[in-house]
Amino acid sequence: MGDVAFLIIIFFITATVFSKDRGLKLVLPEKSTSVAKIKKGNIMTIKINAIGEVMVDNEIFSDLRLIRDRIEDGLAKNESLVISIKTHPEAKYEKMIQVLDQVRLAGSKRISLVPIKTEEG
Amino acid sequence: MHKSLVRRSRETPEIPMASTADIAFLLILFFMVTTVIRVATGLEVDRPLAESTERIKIRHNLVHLWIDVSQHIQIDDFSVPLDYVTDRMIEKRSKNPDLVTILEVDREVNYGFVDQVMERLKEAGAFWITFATDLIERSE
Repeated sequence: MGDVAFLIIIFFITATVFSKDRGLKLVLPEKSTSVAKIKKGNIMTIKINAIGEVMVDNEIFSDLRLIRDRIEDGLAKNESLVISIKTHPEAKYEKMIQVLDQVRLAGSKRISLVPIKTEEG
Repeated sequence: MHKSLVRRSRETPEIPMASTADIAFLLILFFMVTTVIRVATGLEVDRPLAESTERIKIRHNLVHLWIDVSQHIQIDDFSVPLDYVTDRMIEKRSKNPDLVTILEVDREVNYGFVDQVMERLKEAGAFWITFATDLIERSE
């Protein structure tokens, strides 16, 4: 009895994969049914260009952690600030995640991901 | 008093074994409940790092979507071309409407491609997504 039980235990111990899913949660907006209009003053745009430079208001940030302070300042002034991350399609996904990470660390709940439209489409 | 000091060493000490089976079954139950047998192994992906990585607590309505460096897409068990992502996700959602899609995207993939995939997720109505990342801890 005990032996059989231990055999089953061993089986389950080896078969167990503890869920190691981790990540950044996000809710996508519904597709083009309702375009939410936001005042320009309530948007802070962060641009990521094709070579991965990050810009906020035409100022290049080489240390992404400074963006966090910038957003925190913005949120302190305006609670309903929407952070819009505009990424060039050729930029690396990693860059977008790094920026998104900083935005989340700054405590912003309203985030929008936008691709920069290029001429090729 | 004198009598209690005399030890009777004849009796061999014994560990009661009667309850081992109970303990064993308790452990079995624990492992049975916690086991999630992974069906899909997925594509080889080098996840990006993020400080605000959270653990995903739910397990039963997850869909995994992998995108590797060479822009192959895999949804759970199947390799799916970009144009079929919408159909596949609609099919998944018909079985379970409140799915959470975990995007396991390689950090070297171009954002434009990820965006196209996300557009298709939106079309399919799969709005809840998670970007799979690895936790990085920074000392400040």
